Amino acid sequence: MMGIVFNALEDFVLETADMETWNAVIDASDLKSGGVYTFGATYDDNEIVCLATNLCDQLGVSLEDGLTLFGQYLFGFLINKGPVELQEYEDTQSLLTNLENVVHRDVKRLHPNAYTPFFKYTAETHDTGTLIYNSKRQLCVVAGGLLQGAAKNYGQSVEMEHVECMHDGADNCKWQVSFFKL
Amino acid sequence: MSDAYKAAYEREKQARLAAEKLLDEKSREVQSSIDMIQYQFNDLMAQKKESDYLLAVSRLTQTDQGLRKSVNDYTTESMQFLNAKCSRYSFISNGKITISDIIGSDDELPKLGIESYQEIYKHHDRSTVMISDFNNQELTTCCQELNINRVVLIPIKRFGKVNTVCELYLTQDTDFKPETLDQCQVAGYQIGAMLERNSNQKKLEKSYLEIKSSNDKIKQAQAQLVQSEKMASLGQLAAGVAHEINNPIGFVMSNFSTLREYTDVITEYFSYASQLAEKTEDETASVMKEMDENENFTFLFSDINNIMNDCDDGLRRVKEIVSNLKSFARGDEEVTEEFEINQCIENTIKVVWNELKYKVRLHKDYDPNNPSIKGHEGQVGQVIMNMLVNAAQAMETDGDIYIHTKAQNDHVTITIRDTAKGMPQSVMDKIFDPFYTTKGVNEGTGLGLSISHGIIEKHGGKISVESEEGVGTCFTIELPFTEAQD
Repeated sequence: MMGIVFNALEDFVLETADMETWNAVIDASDLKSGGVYTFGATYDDNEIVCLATNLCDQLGVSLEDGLTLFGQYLFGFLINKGPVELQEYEDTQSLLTNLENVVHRDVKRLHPNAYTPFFKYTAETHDTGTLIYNSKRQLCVVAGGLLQGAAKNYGQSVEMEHVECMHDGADNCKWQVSFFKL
Repeated sequence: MSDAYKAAYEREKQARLAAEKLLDEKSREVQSSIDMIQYQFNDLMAQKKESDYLLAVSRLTQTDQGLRKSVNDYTTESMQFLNAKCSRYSFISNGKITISDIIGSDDELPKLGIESYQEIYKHHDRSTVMISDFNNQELTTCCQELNINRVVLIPIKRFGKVNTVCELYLTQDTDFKPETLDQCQVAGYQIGAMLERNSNQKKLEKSYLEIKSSNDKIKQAQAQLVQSEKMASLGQLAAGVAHEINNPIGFVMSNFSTLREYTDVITEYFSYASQLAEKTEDETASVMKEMDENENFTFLFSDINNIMNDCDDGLRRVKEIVSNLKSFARGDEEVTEEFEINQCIENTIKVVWNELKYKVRLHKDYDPNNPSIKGHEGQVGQVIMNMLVNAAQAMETDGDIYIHTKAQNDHVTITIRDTAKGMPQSVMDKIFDPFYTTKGVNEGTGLGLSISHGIIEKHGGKISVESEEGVGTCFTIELPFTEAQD
């Protein structure tokens, strides 16, 4: 997992809780990195799982809720501090259409060793479509949160129906999505 | 600072150090990539320069600009390729330097003798030679002033010999890989091969033209030989026929002449007899008058006269034909003499004027030098007469005949041009053939022009014709000043 996600998690904790909470989460987690995260470096996926689990315990929220909230926050972080330009898209649909062949391609150009999740959006109408997600990390909850964060950023709301899930044994996660202008 | 933020600060410090380390690594990677790109770019530029050079040389080999221009262009391209300060090329012929040109320098590089090059090649395997190795003080001094310390020598061979040497003068700063020099050498071989090929091509073209010309002459000679053979065979035939006919015609004409005399006498006697019969009343006289009424002796005698005249014409005609045949066949009977062409033509015109005067306007343009040739005046006159008569006969109403004589080099040219009806190519092709005629039966023997052709040939000359239907015909006769040949 890239350092930027850990930096986003730290910022998320500082915003929703405080530094003591973050210190406690780090202390509670068994981290090879010792909680020191640099933007462009790469760290063990286990560390984010560990941190997220301990954070949800600290905050007293379910893992699913915590990850959803984090996903929503993460989009805002990426759009401001991420390495790739996301502002140029006019709505979520166009971002999703270009996610793999533009955004993730640029990320890999800058960080050749980075593992990026796979997304594929197929539009049915201008405002509806299906979104497919695949990743070895199986963070579909975070992905769902990211989608909500993205919709909010582009002045939209989104209804998502999680019709298939890797956690249920499916090959990919699949949502039926509908977008509405706010 | 609270303990919480102290811990956070420590983490941030370490994160920053990690970030700096990462940045440093990335910078090195980038610099390494830049270095590699620069190296590859330089390599690519060098390859481009090589391929541009080889392409330019290849283009030179496809053109035929001549020896000097080709070598000049090759030396210029090589000079640019090696970044030489200046260059020179020299042509070698019969062991000497003939032409030498300098490119890229206004300064005069001292000329080198053939021995200098030979000396260098004796002691050096490589084509790059230090200036000092030439042992030529003048050259050394000149090169020092130009900051030149060495020269690349590229010999160009044609037909196994070095005919050209290119010298590329280099400064101390010039540097290149050995492969670059090899390419210059290879290009030199290509240029040599091209020059050899162009030279061979020119020789081939020249040979082809010579062979073609010889072939044309052979064909012409063959045609003339065939014509001569034809003429000789026909001549023999004509001579034979003329000889056979001559005797019977001779005595027929002689007998005929006697017959005419007898007829005249008989006619006169009959006239007296008729007169006597008119005046007499006896039986014999009555029979004579009755016979006269029945037979119409007046008509008879008049018809006898007409018949005699026709026979006379016929015999004359046969005699003329025999005479023509003899002319056609005969050898050199007349005496060779020197005579003036203009005078010969004038004499002929006088003879034939009666036939021409009603139809022809004559225009004469004689060479004032009045050239004279050695030959048979009578025969040449016969030729001229033939031309003039043919021209007049070809005129439907009237026309012009232009006669022009001109002395040129070793021969005199006579042209006889008319404004008659002209003839098509198919007629022109056969016009000199014996017995060929466009006139009706009993109007022409068809021998006139073939006899004329034979006469001119015997004089060592040429006769030719040009014609255009509706415009006219022009005969051109050339007779040499030298003695007439058989």
